[in-house]
Amino acid sequence: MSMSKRKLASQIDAVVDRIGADLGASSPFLANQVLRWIRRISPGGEPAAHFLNVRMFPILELPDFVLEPLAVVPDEAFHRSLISSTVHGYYYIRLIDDIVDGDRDLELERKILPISGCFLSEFRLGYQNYFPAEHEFWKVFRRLWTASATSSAEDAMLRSVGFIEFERVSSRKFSAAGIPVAATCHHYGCAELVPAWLDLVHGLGRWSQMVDDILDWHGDRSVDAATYFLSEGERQRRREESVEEWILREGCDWGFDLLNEWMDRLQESAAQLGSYGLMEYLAGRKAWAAEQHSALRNGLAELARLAGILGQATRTETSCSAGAQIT
Amino acid sequence: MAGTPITFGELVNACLNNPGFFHELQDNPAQAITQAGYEATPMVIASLKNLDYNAIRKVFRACDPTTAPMC
Repeated sequence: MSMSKRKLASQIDAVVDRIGADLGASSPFLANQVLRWIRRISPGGEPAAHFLNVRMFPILELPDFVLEPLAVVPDEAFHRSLISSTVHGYYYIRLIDDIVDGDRDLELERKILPISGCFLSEFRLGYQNYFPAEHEFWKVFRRLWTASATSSAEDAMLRSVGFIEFERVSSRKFSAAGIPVAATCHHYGCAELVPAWLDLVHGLGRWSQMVDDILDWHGDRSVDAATYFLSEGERQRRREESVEEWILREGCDWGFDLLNEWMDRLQESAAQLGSYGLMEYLAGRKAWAAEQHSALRNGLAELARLAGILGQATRTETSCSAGAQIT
Repeated sequence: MAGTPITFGELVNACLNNPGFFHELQDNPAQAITQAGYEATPMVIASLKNLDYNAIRKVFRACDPTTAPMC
């Protein structure tokens, strides 16, 4: 882990410790339940590993990408405040999302739901310390926060997603990630950079949502969730073909080709913004996506070979489907 | 051949819901295939041994919801 990642990890751990301490001052029992939930949603039970996970949207790194080309002395206290605010904001959104999605730990999440109010207040406080009520930043804050909330709610209600809905709704669920980005621009006196950076955040949100659509297609199908990828599968599959067969035949390549096209545009934008950290990050994401593409394509082809072998094999039982027996 | 052959969709679902089956299929194909309701003929076993199980494992690693994009 690089020194900057280690520093970020220790700052995340400090925020989570403070969540435990703040809640624990009122109710040690409740603090334990909230920390249990935080550990449960974190890979390996490590909150820092969660935020630094390769598949996590870079909500904590984005302000550093904005800062890098500005040639200013970083305001460390401001950045610590942003990290605290963003971690709280993430937990606020995640708790509500998990309840809306019917997460497997729903009982715990419903019981700790009132704590979302504490997360929200800490999320806002991080900015209130730096921007007075009449500051231009709050207009952006309000617009992005509303876009994030309305997109998440509308996305959960969609029954079919075409590109228009994907662009207008699904890909906007990441809008709140633009808030610390806009705050960084305003804090360092570069408000004119806000539109370009928000375009980039939206582009990255579009890319990340599509990755989610492709790699989680199985989970989405199991809960009957509509996504752009699955909806496109329903539209593009041949009459006699299942969505899985479409994914094998062309859907996987279609999805990853789209990701590549969007990534090329993101890389052009990152170069224009002059952030080498962002360019390095995007190069890593592009390589990672190529690995996932290859894993999915080759693995599904191998599963098709297995289906062929089993199709030729003699069944010893006829009363239930082979799929049911394997599962 | 008797019964309905497994579809590709069913097999993909089996892969993602029960990755353990594929470990068993690689380690002990005769037992795994018999338990799944198929006749373990030498030809079937030989074909199963030729599969690239590492490639199959990568599918369920790529699609593992515990490493999903988390935002």
